Amino acid sequence: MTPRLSHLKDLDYSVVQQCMHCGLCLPTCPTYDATKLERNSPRGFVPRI
Amino acid sequence: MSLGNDTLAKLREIVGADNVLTSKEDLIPYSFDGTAALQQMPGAVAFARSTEQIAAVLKLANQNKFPVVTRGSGTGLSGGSLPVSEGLVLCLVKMDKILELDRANLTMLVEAGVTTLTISDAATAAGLFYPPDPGSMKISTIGGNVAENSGGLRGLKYGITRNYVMGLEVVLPDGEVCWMGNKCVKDVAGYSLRDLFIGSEGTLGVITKVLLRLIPKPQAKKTMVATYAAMDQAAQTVSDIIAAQIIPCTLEFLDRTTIRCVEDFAKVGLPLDCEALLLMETDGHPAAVAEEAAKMEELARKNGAKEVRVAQDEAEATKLATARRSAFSALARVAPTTILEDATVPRSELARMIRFVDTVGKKYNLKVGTFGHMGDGNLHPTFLTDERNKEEMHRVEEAFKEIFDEAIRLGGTITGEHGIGLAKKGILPKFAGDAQMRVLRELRRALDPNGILNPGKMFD
Ligand SMILES: Cc1cc2nc3c(=O)[nH]c(=O)nc-3n(C[C@H](O)[C@H](O)[C@H](O)COP(=O)(O)OP(=O)(O)OC[C@H]3O[C@@H](n4cnc5c(N)ncnc54)[C@H](O)[C@@H]3O)c2cc1C
Ligand code: SF4
Repeated sequence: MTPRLSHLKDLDYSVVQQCMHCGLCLPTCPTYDATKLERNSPRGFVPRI
Repeated sequence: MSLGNDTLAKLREIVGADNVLTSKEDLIPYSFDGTAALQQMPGAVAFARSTEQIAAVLKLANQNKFPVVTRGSGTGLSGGSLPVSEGLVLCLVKMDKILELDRANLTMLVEAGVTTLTISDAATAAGLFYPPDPGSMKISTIGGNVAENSGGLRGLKYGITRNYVMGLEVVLPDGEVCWMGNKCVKDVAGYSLRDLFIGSEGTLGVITKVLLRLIPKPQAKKTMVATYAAMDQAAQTVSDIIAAQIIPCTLEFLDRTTIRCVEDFAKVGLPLDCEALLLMETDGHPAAVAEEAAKMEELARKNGAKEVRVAQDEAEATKLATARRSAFSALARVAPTTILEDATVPRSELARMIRFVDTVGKKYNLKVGTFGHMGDGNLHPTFLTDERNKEEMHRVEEAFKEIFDEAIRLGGTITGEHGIGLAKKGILPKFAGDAQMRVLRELRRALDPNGILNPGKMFD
């Protein structure tokens, strides 16, 4: 998937790699809480960048 | 092996079309867990809402011969909930109800997808206490905790998940539902099958309900942090505290690298010029806590602590504990790939093991931070690396081999709380020995002759 947020292109890929899949963002993410689908969470979003 | 349209249609019938994911974008987040450098795409993800649905899914799996990997929140650190290629991921996060809180028997019955924090909060609200507190407790599920027999920061005094499981409802690999255990404190009828399922890493059955033991809430707590110029002083403090017959609820350790990363991340005001830090906590009756805290402070100073900071109130205590809880995240920030291990040794060998990790890190020219549960010998040597650097990853592997060999030599274990999963599958046979491996294999084959549940994990 190509990122629509253009400034992401300027970032080193390692910034995205910083996500270590720990899942600690899930409990604080309102869209995950409502849907229980990881696609709608930071952990689900980051790998698609 | 792909799932096929017939299987997918049946799955949709069982759990409802909304609860089956098949598109690539939906599946990607389920292609990994918390373990670094492991990824595998599933064929589909199904969310179950009841025990009956899970029984039906497993019956279907036996008919159509497809692999099923049970998943809670996917925070595991040994690759346990990593999908089997093109197989089914059975996710339990929607089974998130607390079913009963029994104040007369001090038990709580919950569905397997309830998070550890929800359980802990519900116990606290009732004036009770559920002690196991893995670092991931905000999101880890109780099913995952039981399947990994997870530990936490309070293991030394209060034990681990196993010590709080009184009963389990499990769907066996063939789809039959089985209850084991009850509210009786004493029960010796038959083999303790419940114990077999604790730590089974999703290989023997799907845990659907858990009956938990609660205990009275300690009335008081005192938290302190001691910093040292030398690691041996910290280790000696721990030995002296134990020798003084004090069992603190928490005795956690951070090394120099970890202290720096934590301070940089959480800004709690830790001194940066020290070699080791101990986070110590005692809880219980207020009089006992006051006495023990005074003694612990005295022992820390006697062993040359540069500074002992005793939390003056709850807020400061939480801040100090956060320093330890954020260790993993803080280390992870400084490198693209963070590989955290959990080699564990008898308490008496801790200082030696910590020194060994340091030496191995230097030998292979690797950046390593070590922290862990000093009170129960469970260390987390954490290598800061980059999975894109194949040559360095190879050195990390070699370093780990040496660390595990040393842990075994010192009478320790290859994993204290994260489990075997995929990550340590290769070294289990050497550690467990032929006789144990034979029993493990025969047990698994007896329960799961078609190899449906979590195939390829723990051992072949
Ligand atoms: C930041 C961080 C800190 C952590 N701190 C600790 C710690 O202090 N102590 C500790 O012990 N661990 C710790 N962990 C590891 C991990 O959180 C635990 O192993 C946790 O119990 C996993 O729960 P989960 O719901 O995420 O399970 P998952 O990762 O989804 O699954 C783990 C294993 O259990 C199986 N499983 C899950 N649910 C069920 C079920 N209902 N029935 C049968 N099998 C099932 C899966 O198949 C898999 O093999 C930490 C992880 C992270 C990311
Ligand atoms: S985005 Fe979520 S999973 Fe990734 S590192 Fe941050 S908290 Fe962990």
